[in-house]
Amino acid sequence: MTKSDQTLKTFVTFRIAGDGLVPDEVTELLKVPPAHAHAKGVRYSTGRVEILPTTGVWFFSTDRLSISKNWVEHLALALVVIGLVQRPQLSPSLPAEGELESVSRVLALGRFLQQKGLTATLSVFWHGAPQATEPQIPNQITDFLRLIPIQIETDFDRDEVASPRRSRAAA
Amino acid sequence: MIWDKRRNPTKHVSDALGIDRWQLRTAIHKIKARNNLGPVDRIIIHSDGKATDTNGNEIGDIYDEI
Repeated sequence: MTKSDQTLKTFVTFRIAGDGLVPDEVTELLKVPPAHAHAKGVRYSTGRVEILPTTGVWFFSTDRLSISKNWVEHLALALVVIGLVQRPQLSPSLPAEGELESVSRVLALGRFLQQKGLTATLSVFWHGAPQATEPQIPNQITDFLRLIPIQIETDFDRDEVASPRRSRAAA
Repeated sequence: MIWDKRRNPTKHVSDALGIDRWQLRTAIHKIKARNNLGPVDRIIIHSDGKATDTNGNEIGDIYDEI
């Protein structure tokens, strides 16, 4: 079994939150549609329940774009959204992003968060088989994200090892 | 209520909901993200799949996320 085979599910979510959040402003800034967004106090339905949100949230999830079981690929996708990695050419009509454009997007995000009093969090989800090795996020990435400032969270766990069934004779 | 601990739910919780544990954890992660909660924040999972925060407010549903 390879390491990817031992990963049962992985993805990265990136969220911006705060009482003054206006979802369309974040979408315009990051130029990517959210998986979900709402403003504070505006009711929404998830399907089976109706929520009255206590704060505004805009969030993006990489599992909408990739079914890869490689957490590095999901992290790279999230970094493209934030602007830490240059956006590749997605179609002939949309030119690839230049280095300066990418840097200016990161700077604009940091300024936006500060001006609006919002927080940004990048969260790496990983669930592996019982013997799988947990991902290690490089310190360079976490250190750089904190400068923007973006908090980084990890949500790692493995399947439980199945306990052997006790025979009647042993009981 | 089938889970109210701070740590990740065990297999018996996903079994009670009829889903795999990775699916349950995926759903919880997204419910928390939608509510600006992190992995260490405690939520309560109910036997019908609904999730509430520690104040009893509904914050999502496991089955809506899978």
